[in-house]
Amino acid sequence: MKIKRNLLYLFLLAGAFLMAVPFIWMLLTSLKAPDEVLTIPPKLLPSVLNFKNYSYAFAAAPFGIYFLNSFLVTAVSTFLQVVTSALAAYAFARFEFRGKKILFLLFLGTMMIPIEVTLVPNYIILKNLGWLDTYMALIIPWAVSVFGIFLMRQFFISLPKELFDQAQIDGCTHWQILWKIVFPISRPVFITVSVFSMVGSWNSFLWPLIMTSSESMRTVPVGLAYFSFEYATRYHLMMAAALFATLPVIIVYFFAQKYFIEGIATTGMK
Amino acid sequence: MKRIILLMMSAAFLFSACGVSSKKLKLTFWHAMADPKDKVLLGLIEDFEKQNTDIKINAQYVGNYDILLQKLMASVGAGNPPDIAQVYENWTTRFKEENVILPVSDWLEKDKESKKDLADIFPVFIKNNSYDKKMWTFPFNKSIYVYYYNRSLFKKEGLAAPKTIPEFLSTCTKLTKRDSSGKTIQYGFGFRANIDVFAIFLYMNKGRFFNEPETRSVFNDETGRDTLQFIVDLVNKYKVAYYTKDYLDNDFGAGRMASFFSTNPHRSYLEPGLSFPLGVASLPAGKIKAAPIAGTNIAVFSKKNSTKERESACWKFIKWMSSIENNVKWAIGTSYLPIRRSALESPLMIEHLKKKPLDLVGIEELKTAVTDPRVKCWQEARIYIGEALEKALLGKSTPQAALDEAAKKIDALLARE
Amino acid sequence: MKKNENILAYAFIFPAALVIIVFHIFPTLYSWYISLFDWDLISKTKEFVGLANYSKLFSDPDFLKSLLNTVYFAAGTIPLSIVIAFTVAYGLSRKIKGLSFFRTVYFLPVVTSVNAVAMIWLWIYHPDAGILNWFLGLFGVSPHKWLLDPVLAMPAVILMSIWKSLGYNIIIFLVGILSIPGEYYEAAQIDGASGFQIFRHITLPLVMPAIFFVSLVSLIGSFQTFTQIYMLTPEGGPLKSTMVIVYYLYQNAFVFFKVGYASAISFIIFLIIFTLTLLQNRFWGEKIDYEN
Repeated sequence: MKIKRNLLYLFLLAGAFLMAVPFIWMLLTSLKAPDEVLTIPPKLLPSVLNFKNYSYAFAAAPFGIYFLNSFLVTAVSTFLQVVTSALAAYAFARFEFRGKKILFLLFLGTMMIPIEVTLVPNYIILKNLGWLDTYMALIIPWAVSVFGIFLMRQFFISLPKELFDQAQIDGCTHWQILWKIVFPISRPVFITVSVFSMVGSWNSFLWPLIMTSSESMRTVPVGLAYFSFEYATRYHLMMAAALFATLPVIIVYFFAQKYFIEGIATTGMK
Repeated sequence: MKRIILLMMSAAFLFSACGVSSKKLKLTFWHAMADPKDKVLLGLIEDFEKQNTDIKINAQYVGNYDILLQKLMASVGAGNPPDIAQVYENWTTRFKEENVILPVSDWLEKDKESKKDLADIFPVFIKNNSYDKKMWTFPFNKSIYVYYYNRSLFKKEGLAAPKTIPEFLSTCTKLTKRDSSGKTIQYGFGFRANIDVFAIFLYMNKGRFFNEPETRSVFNDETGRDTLQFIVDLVNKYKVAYYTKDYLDNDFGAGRMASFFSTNPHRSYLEPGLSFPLGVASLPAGKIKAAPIAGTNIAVFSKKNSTKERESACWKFIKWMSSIENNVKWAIGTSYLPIRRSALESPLMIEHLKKKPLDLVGIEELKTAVTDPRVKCWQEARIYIGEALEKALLGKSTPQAALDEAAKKIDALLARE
Repeated sequence: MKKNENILAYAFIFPAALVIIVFHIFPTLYSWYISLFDWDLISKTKEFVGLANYSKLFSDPDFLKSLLNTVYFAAGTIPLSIVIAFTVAYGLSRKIKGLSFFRTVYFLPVVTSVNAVAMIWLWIYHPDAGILNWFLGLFGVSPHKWLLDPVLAMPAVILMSIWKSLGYNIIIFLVGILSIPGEYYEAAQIDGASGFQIFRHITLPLVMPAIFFVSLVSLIGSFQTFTQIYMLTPEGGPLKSTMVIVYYLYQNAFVFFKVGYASAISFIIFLIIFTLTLLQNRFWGEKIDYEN
């Protein structure tokens, strides 16, 4: 039994190591001198720790503004996604209304459309709204998460009906039920949806690339493109930038993961 | 939390509101100049704005050239293009057909000094920017292909840069090294598996991609076939060349390949990272000496509510950038080719070339410059010809069959233009 | 009361519906409309060609190749990813120490951007300086040109994609396994069932819905795969060996500017995903009902 358990740890650790190898290399490369990046045989450790790669990478493009934009866009769109998803999910879970099934299918159907398909029409729509190269273009089209609606609906359905009946007898409106009663007991689901929204929004690349042009509107992932150009990719700088671009998501995930697993568990997706 | 969001929003609002002055004429300039070239460009723009206080140039790095074209097409389609942008010649073919750019010759004809300026610009650039006797765009960041080599490896073998194709082959052979197990550890030559290497050898063999009015493929003729066969032989028969899809800098820097072709401004990125002295020479000669031109031009886009002021401000900027003084600054800062002859006589340039004599190679090569086709479907054609090269290299198809297949696809596109 | 509820429901759905209709449904319909035209994005007139784009598609070898490649990608990614994820999730469910550490590490690739991690994988696959060939070399395996080799390029992309999405699948499976009531296991042990029998007859069937969910999401994902192809194998790989359907769509729309043709492809993608979803729903739906 003991041996079996140790084998299990060995297996899990080996797997974790394999999963982490790319990140370890990311970290090591970000500290290397340019001529140490691609050597034969591969050189694992930098000879000197070049911390100045970070400051150089940060200064190569206006990353200060990019970070501010990314934080703002991610915060606002995550907030909007959670609110709109909760409202829609509540309606789909609790109300009987005409066209419910069709609407739900229509919503789910949009999950099947790759973003590349709608890029051109959306560009024209945003132009006509006068939103190109503004925060509106980065936030509003992504103010809804169909996946979020799906997850929350699953959860709301699983809640006991008496909870809602009792609340209505006590004179609560549906708005109050959602935010005063359902919200506090659905924390894991809300956190799960938030994390998914946040990750999607933070890492979004093609959309901001096409919909914005000015320096003051661009986001962090777009900034990474600065390190790859017609002659070469400056790996050491790119990895330094990729690392500080990824760090915020990793930190948030680390703190949210406890709820995360609960969030998925409670949605009946088991 | 709410307060933080509010704070961030207001901070961001301040950011976007900065630097907007209602009096100034604002021009948007879309470019693809990444760090550190963008710093040279921004420096020049700053100078321009100091001298022309009524104009503000809003230079925006939109991404690499592929993304630049995508964004230009989308913005033209949606009716809000930038005022000026970098464009390749085959893009211009599209844009002029739809009348979405304004020909620069409209101003050139009115501008008295411009006659003199025009005579000073290298004719190859004028020709390449002209369509139906009209000059539509203006040369901007022009470059030319040269031969890069590892001087310490060449020195070890007592070799100089090859002047002809036979010399090129023997040089590659001498510089290819194998270890005791027979594994090649050093190649004489390296290239990226795309159309560019084929184009370079094709031009020096006196071949062309299309017939004169550019209506039909000719790159699959005997010259084209021999050219492709030669490239395939370098890799598969003589085993003296190496190819990749990735960039070549790292392989070259690590001594994995002794030489490669690239454009002349590559020198300024490459040289600082190398542990050995860099050599630059003109391309070896085939049947003729020929070096392809690369790089883009500036176009002025037409706009719905355009004013005379906007258009003449665009022209003013283009003209200012191409003045001897500024062209010299641009060429020195980025190692792009100067576009006018008299730039070469400027004391600053002479000084620079003394310090960086390698930059002279590209300038010398201008005498034998050739230019790429300008057909609308060039983007697509490049991919098909690149595929033909790959097929031949992998032995999936003979050079002739691979080129014929590409030619058939491309001719179908040309028929529609 | 009923009417009131109708209005209330619509009001709750309104914000989500507005965004979805304006920025997702309408553009999709518009792109289907464009699929009936020949258009390059900038010409002022769109030439109506009827269904010509569709008939061209089915005689276009590149399109058929991209379809096959997508199927290859899905077949290479999904079963393997499910098996690995399930195994790891099963291991993680055995009351082990350091669970949150493992969860974080395995999930890390999911939260990072594909653009950034693809750069790392370019290095892993580098023919000379890459760690994969170096590692294989330790066992005497001769080096391969991974992304340059038409046979190996797709497996290389598949491997990276499995790595990227593994954590997501692990979490879903872990949740599924953990939510199986302990009594089931106890009862089975009393009956003298072996470890494998318990796995086969209790764990596996009860996690079936999770497997269904993961395979559906992965299948949809396969038909939307783009970024890792674009980053790892520009131009769709050696001899188009990694050109999946969305990449072909992208190339037609944004490199060749054949917007009508690209829109026709987008409609086909939708049809395929839609059909697959229905089929899978029917096949698996019955099975799940039975198990429960």
